[in-house]
Amino acid sequence: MIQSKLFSNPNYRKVVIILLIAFLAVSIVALRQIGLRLRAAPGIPTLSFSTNPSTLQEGQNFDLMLQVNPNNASFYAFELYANYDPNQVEFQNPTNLGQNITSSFILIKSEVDTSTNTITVVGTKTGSAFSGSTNMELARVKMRVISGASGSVDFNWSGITKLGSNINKELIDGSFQIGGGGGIVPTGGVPGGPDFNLDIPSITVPGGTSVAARGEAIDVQVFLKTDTQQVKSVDFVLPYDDSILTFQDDSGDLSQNIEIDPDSGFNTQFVIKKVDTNQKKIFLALVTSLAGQDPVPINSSSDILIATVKFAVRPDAPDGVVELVPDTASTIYNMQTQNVITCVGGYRFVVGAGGGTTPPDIIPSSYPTIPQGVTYTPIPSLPPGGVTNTPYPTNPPWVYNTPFPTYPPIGGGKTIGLDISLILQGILTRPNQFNTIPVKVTVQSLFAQAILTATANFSVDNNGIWTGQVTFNNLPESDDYAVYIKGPKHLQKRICESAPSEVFPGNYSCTGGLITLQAGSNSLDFSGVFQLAGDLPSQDGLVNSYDISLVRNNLGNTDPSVLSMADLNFDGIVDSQDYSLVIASVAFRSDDTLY
Amino acid sequence: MQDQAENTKPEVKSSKKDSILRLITVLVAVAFIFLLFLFFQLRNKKQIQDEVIIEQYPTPVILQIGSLTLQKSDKNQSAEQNKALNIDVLANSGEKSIVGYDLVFTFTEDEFEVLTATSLLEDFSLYRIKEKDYFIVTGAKKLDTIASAIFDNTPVLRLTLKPKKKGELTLGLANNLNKERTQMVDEDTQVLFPQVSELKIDVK
Repeated sequence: MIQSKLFSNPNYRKVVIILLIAFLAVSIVALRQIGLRLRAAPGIPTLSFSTNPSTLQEGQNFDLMLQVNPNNASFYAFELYANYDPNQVEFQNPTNLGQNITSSFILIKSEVDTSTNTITVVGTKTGSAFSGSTNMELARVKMRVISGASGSVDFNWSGITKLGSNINKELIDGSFQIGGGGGIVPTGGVPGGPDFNLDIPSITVPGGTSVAARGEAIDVQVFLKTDTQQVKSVDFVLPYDDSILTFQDDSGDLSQNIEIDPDSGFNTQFVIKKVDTNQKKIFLALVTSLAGQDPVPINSSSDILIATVKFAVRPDAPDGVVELVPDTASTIYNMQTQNVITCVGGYRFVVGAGGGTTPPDIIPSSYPTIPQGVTYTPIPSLPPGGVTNTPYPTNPPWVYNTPFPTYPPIGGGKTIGLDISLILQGILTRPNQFNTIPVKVTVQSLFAQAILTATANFSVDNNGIWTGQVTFNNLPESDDYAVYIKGPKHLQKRICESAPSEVFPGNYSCTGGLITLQAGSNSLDFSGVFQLAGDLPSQDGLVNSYDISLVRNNLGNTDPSVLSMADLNFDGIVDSQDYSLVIASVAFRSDDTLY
Repeated sequence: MQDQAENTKPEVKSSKKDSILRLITVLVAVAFIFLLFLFFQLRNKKQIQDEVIIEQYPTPVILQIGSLTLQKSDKNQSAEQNKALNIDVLANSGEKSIVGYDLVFTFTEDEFEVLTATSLLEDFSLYRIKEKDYFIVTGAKKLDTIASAIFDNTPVLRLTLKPKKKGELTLGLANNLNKERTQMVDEDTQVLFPQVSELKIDVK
């Protein structure tokens, strides 16, 4: 009775309501901490096939394109396994089948298994993830329809095909009619659509990485694919990095370096060509020829060469990876003046470093002999006595092997705080391991003659932005600071502006500090520049064979002690994505050093 | 009697309501305590995780094993100024199966120009860094290769050079150059520092 009265008491009911509200509040806080956030579900990426040319004839060479539409999902790596019918198709290079496979992305594996009739392409995109909702070409396979073949050419995705960490995906097999004129008919259909794509034939290495030497002239060919559309006009925009590329004729009007192909079908008289050196972009606008008052539409089953841009690699270009990708502001208009562009395809090459491999002819194992005309002189550098184990010097945790010298400021030092935000290569959202990492921050001012280093913990938010605060207690104010960032598994990056950005991941480079640091808090947004992963513990300031081998030797490992060293994207397993990340950083090789 | 029965009905209803309220109260209290417990556990876990981050890493094992030697690919080819010359690197890994290597080639800038480097092992990919007076090649065993790669004076790399002047020119492999090292790494991630050599080439 007492209890009944108690529960009938309105005050008691209020207490219950308050408890319920508290329960809800605590639930929300706890769920946020646990990471069970409501988020918009990304779409399911779609893998499909297309061919170039889109119509196939018996005995005809064609390119099989393996393509993906991310449908707003994000992923870096791809493992593609496509089955073909050897009674219908063969490879253009029959001796080295792997060389039939090319890609604008870094390929870890590109091979053909003739026992299972499977094409294998494993690769990755560096820097930013695959995203968006248009079809992108992942790889291209040079094939031929066998003479006498009829019916349809079929390609099927194997069930072990993976995107990212085996995220959900839709696999659309392809069936292409031999002799048919209806274009690409992917079963379940997602046609390719019109696009711009680039090629640099002079430096293309089938199956490998294209390399351009400093000073080398490179003719970038611009192709238009109309697919099934009747094209009336195009606007083509190509950003370029002027620290790496210049023009073959830089004496006067730079637009002279853009040559329109007279056989493209576009009017060569009414052309807009422009090189904007401020925006670092090339602009090209073309319209089709007129027949009377009416434009003559352009439509072709194969890529149309519309122009060649005559670039040259600067003699003082730094080593690194160059990506030329048409701007997505480019347009392709059909006869109804609708922009029908579906995607753009770029070209990646390496300046001064990296490169493709050439398969061996013979691997002899004979002992070396001293040839005539050559003097063989061994360097007596090692003591005799066989094998000795010499461990690296033991490093204290997160103290780097090659610390900068620290110059205390001359005078007038103040307490200066840095609120820094960063983005790490390979991490786009809050990872499921290590939400807090130590980052070494060094500041350098030539004017104030100050170099100071501190290490702070950085925490990640849901968007993969890492933030942390560093405080220097005796640092002079100056406006010429450069800030050096080194993550626990990363190459050190020198940053000279308070809010820098880069066109392509890893490309940001600077020499003169322009950052103003004043007493109090200073906000530095470095999230526009990727911190490249690959210098693994114990760090030595390099991405070399040790780092690559550490990842390779631990593939599939989930042991925490191994993850702390070799899990570059903090996803809880050492896998091909980590391997891809470390390989992508090899071309950048070493820490940015003090200038 | 009828009146008595009518009087007890509201009491039964009230009792049922109270029971539900009591049940809700208990559930709320239990859930509240559970969530508080979870929250603090999570905080503790985060603190533990922070501590894990600053754990000491195992130090790589370094072995002074093996050798790397240079020789002309075609022993009968004479070296001529401004004419491409192929040099092979032969590796001995002391019975260790190698998954990666770094080779640091040194030369004088006005004596040689490195044209290209090619892997002589199909299972290895190459990555190159070209500077004025040194050239670094990193070889990495491909992911899909299972076969072991024990080098027994095995030609692993072909370097194509252009001698830029006549006379006796020297191409060397350096143990160390700045932070770079000539090394091999085996499948246990042990680092091998091999004995290295230089090659004197008589250029006509």
